[in-house]
Amino acid sequence: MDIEDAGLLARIRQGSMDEFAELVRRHQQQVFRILHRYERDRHALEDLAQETFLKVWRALAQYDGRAPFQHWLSRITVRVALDHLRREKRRANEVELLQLGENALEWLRGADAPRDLEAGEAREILARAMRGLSAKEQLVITLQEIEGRSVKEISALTGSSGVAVRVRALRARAKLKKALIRLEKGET
Amino acid sequence: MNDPKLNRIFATARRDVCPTPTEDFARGVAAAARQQIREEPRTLLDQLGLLFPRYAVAAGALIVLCIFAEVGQTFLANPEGSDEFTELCAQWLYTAKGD
Repeated sequence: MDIEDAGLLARIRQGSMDEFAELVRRHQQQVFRILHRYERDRHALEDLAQETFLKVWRALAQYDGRAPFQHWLSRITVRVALDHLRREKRRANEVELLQLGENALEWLRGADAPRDLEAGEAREILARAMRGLSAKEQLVITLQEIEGRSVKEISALTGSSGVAVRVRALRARAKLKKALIRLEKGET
Repeated sequence: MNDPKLNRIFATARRDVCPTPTEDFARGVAAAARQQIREEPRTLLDQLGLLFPRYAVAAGALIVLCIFAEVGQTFLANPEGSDEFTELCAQWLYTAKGD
């Protein structure tokens, strides 16, 4: 574990909230980097990040320091992301499906070499297509394809076996392709 | 939808810039944690207080106290039962046979 983190954690355990704020400052970017793949709204993203750090703070007694603090923090962040995806999935069943923007739709229906896709449009397309995937499938495919993590890393982050991760990723990819074909054809 | 097109969507989404936290984000989180400490129940009684609102406990205790007081008073005044009970027996149980 990082020596500075170790010192901070020791002082936080003694009740220093200023040190906790310092710990948050040191690791907030890492948490934001993971969570922004699952939430595009800035305020909602900050709420999720806060939820993550409060979980960290409550679970600090359980952290034994054997693994680097960053790994432990990433696992908690991924768990918060999964809970968020589950909540969103429940909410998505209750509200009307979002329509894709004109530009994203145009790109999707374009020929083999359409214009460059904007990052925001790509996320819009994926967000729309992923609605048919389970929360765990969404998490795995995002970790693998967008964050570029290996099966071993995803397995460590999610607590699932390597085989389960592979199967989930394959299934998610197949479902995504089907959903995108439907979008290309203009079906919902 | 072919694989290269899907991969291109993933690759483009990967480039999406992560927003930076606001300057007071860390202080806000620490304040929220402090708030939780204040709201956290400290003793067993506090925790029970969360489960059972205090007024309900006080009202329950008062009812139990009244019942005990009433039973105790009745027993001390007339150990073999109340006058009403004797009267009831006389009217409804013994009268039928007596007629």
